[in-house]
Amino acid sequence: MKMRKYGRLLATFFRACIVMELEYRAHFWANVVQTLMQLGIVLLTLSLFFAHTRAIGGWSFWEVLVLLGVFTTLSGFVEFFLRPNLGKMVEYIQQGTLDFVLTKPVDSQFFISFRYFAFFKGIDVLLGLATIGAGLAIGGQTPGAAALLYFGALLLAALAIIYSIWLALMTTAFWFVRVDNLHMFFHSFFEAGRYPVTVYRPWLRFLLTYVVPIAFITTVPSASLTGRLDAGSAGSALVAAAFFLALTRWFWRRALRYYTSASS
Amino acid sequence: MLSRRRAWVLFRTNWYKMMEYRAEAVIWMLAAFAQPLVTLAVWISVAGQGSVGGYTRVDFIHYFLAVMFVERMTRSWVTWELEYQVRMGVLSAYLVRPIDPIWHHVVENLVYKLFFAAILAPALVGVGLLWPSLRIPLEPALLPAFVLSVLLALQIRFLMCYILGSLAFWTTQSLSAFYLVDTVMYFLGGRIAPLSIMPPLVAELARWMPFRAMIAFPVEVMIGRADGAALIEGLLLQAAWLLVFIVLRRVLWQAGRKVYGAVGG
Repeated sequence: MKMRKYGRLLATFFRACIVMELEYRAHFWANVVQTLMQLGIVLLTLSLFFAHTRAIGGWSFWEVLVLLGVFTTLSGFVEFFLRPNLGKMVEYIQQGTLDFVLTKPVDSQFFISFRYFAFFKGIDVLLGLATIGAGLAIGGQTPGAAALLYFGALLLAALAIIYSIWLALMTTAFWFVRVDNLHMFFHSFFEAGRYPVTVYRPWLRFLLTYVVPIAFITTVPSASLTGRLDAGSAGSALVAAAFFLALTRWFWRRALRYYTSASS
Repeated sequence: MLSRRRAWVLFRTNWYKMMEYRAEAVIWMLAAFAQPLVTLAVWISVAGQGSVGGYTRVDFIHYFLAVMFVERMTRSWVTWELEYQVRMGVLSAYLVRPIDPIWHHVVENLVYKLFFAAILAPALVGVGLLWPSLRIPLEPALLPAFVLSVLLALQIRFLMCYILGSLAFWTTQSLSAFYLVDTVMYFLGGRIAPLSIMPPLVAELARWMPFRAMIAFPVEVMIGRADGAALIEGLLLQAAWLLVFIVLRRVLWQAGRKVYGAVGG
């Protein structure tokens, strides 16, 4: 029953956002051009690296291409729903308009997380998936059903981790109010996910796996397609995702209790 | 030109504005370091114990430390500012003032560059003292040449950003043009790798393009890879580009002002 209600709500949000975006069609094309340009940069950068080496962090060209596809897909999702929603959240808290969210008969975390969608950024997701396909084709690989299933699960886990970390960062706004710039830190760490975590020195690798779990975001999902996945890291990624989701949920509820609205 | 008194007033107000946003400025600076640091990590891993095109691991560290410094010293946000002023019609308020509006941007740029220099220069020296191998190999005798090359580079890059921003007089896509140019600069300005390890054709092309004059050349001076004839040639090229951009910005500004129609009242 509850699931149905939230499903219907989600469909309504989707519709509202599509209607709004159809107003700005030029935006769509500008975004396509920008994404293609970014892919171009990525390919040129890769070819520059691979003109001087046969492997980056032990990963060959097609493997790194798959990883960059995963990176592009995930940043597509980030732009698609994380940035539009979590960007607005700080505004709600600063201006006290979170009141209107709290008085609605829906879960507040659901509402602030899924109210807005930037559909034209969805194209990044498609281009990312295409890059993954191109990488696999160059490597002459056809992943089996099991590998695809793992990949799907690990990609979802990656999204859950990104979502949780970002929401937790933004939730600190309940105490510090002005945290608009905090997401920059997230982006900086995310940037480190462009390459397999094995390129980094051991201490940094440790940090990027267990402290800021960047390894679970791009390296591990890619590994499921390139045949490098081991049960240990797949399990850890899923556990980390569940852990971060729960932690963020707890943090959100705690923050709500602290919320006193803005002065009026 | 700007009178001394006006310059001082502009400088002071902009400095106070900067101080109001100092924490944000530092956060944005640190965030911008992520990209060069990640690129550096890859080059270190590629170089391993050997070298790539004459760059060992330590050379790459020097190179990217220099890139981070020079990039910060030359980066300008004037494209966004100008685009905003033209689009929203705010420019009108500046046009009626008795000085060319560019001076507001010039002073604002000077202020934030001073601010970043005051943080980064001591930081670089400190790093060099703590870890001697990371000390930037800049000969003291070349310090004046380096400072000159940075001063030229920041003017060239500022003018280029200003020119791209002034495209807003004619089109709403001036920011797209900026991103396109910035992408080209990413490669030809040496932000992704030293130009000398790029394919020979690209390296030769980059040598004559303005992007090298904005970042890669001061970086080469800073790490002691451009001296003697190469140093003179680089500085002359910078001076030439500066001249070209001064003229271009003047022409565009005069033409743009004629087509400028402020929005709203």
